[in-house]
Amino acid sequence: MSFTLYDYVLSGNCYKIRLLAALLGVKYDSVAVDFHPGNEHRSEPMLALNPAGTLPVVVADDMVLTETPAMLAWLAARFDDTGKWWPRSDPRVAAEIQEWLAFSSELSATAGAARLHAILSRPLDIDAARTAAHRALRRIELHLNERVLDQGVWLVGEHPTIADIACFPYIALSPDAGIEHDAYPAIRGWLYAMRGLPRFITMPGIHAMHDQRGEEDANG
Amino acid sequence: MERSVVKKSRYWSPPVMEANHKQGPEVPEIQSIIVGLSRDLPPKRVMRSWVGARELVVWRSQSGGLNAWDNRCPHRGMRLSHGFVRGERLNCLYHGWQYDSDKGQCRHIPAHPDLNPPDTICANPAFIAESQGFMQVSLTGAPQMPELPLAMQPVRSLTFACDDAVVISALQTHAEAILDMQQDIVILRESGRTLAAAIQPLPDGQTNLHLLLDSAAGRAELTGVSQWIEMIRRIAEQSANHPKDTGKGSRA
Amino acid sequence: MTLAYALDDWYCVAMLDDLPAGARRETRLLEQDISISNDAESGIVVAGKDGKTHPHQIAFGHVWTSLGTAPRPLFEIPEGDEPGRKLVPCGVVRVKCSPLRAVENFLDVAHFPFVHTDILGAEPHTEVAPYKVKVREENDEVWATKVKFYQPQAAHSADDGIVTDYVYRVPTPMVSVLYKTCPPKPEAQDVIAIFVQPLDEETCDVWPWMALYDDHSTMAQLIQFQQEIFLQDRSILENQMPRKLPLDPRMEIPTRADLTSVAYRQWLKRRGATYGAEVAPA
Repeated sequence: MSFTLYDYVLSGNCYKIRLLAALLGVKYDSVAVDFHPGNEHRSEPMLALNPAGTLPVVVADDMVLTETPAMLAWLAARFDDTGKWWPRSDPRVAAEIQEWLAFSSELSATAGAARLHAILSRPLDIDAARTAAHRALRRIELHLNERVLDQGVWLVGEHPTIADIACFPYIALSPDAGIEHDAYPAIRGWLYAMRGLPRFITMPGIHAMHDQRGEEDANG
Repeated sequence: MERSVVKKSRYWSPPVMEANHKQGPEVPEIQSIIVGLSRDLPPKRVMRSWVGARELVVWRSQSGGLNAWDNRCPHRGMRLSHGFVRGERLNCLYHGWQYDSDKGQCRHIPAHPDLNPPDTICANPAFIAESQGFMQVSLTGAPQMPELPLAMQPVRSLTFACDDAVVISALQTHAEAILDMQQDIVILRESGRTLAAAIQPLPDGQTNLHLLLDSAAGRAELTGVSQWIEMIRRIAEQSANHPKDTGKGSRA
Repeated sequence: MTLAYALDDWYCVAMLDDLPAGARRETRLLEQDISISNDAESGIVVAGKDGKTHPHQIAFGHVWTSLGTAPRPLFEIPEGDEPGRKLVPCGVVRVKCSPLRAVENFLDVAHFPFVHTDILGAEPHTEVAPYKVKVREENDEVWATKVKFYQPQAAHSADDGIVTDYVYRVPTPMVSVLYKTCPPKPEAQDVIAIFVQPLDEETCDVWPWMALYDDHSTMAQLIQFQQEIFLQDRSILENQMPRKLPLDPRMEIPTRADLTSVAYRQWLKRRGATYGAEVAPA
């Protein structure tokens, strides 16, 4: 098997791996970890695998990855023959991708944390998290509007990359925590483009692309 | 720009609507407003906006038809702005009820595929029109589109965390010149170019600003204007947080 | 008074597994702050902010309490005692909606193809065939029977799409139980319930629980199958307006597929169980 994913269905970070694997057409083994209510990610066996006690974890042979951006990079390098998902021959392009991978941690820490608080009542200064999340959304909105002015849509270059995958889930899911997208038209356009990718898969909070399905079986 | 300010009423009849945001202390009674840039609503796309306190779904059909309706499916109250477009119909996300563009008539209920839905099942449309890059909604009749002095191109829409008076004051203070103020649009000059800024007050006390720029301006100028309006926003929000600070002088 | 009626029911407020010795959970029920603790000496104690204790009972792996003086008896789910079943508490999820909206959503199948796409339903199998609804007089519960729906993946245990038989039951205003075809054991039914804890009229903590026949899936897989479905509903529930459930029939338009929800709303009105509801039109 290609790799094993220690997975939680409601985790945005785990979804990044599930999503990229689906877009790349890669099959993998999945181990469901009872994050809630069981706190299994902090059980002894899971801590032995990943002392940080976080999810996802990706294991392939004797490689254990615990940081999501690293998992995305490995998946792209290992399985994407086109080289489009993680282009790194051009130093500038490679650096821009790194910028957004780093930025994705800010999204997890703000919008992601706000969501866990709203859904699973994890303790948090929710007002501070929401304010910080909107600040992050404004940054990416400014950038994505520049891309719109260039007739583009993706974060870096002319096709989607792991930068888009890294930033997508916690932005798409932010309404779960009352962080709405009305103020961010460029983000909305980008979310729509992401959801329209071939082999796209959803997770709870991200609606299925019903408008495309309708083209297959029109009724009424 | 004089506008009578009335105390907000919780319900706008009919149907019952509720702003999803914290309510501002006083919501202006608005009948007609610019809600966005045409560029940001291509065919098959759905968004949400407000005319005063009234929440609307704004969407465009596959053929390009623009619609603005009360943001509520009459079935079980689901926000239509979460719906999806197939052809000329907006479909509610909850049970897939299908509503025709323009009149909002429900034409199909998936749970009962052979049923012809009665005429009483209908979305509640408002009036919407677009011209020169702006989309305008009116609750009362055909929207009066603004007169812009020249051909313009879209820059962006952005939301200010302060009320419209503060936004307009920041524009007046920091633009090279204010050329005109009509309806809810400030025509101004900045960096030698003409801009049109449509101001849209929101029910939670925030303000949308929809920005157009002289069509003759080049790509680099578009970025320049975008950066400039970011600065205006910083100044306006700063002055809203610190009302005694006039915000003049610092071009940070 | 709507609150007065609501006080005299039992509400789920904690999961037993979350309360080892020494543990304490603070929460809110019907606008009152309460705590549930597992004391070394006294065992489970439910206390209000003023120190006043409230009665509690353990049922379906959860702690239930009542703030009222004469609570109506707690309902039973005998299937929970059947040998061979996996009992699965799925963990609490908070939703900004009326507790009544949460229950009503649970009673609905017409949304399956659109909200639980390719799991509990899929286009073009959207038709809801006529089914039966009645209020059982003996214990004043709402029951819907002979509900059928085509499901691509009815349960984690399902290998293929099947037509699932559903029975719905509302034993008390903020609890709903469903009984559905069990894919590996079609002569039996899987039981899935939601116990809704109202923090206030527009916020609730939802405690899903299941009693299933499934010898192959892990607990984590079973929990996550249910959580995936419930979290798909959450996005809908937080976007229904008005938040409170309208009991005036002119405010929302039902169809024949909504028989259970119509019966539920009428039943609530008759009982005076209007906490979380809009009674008067706008």
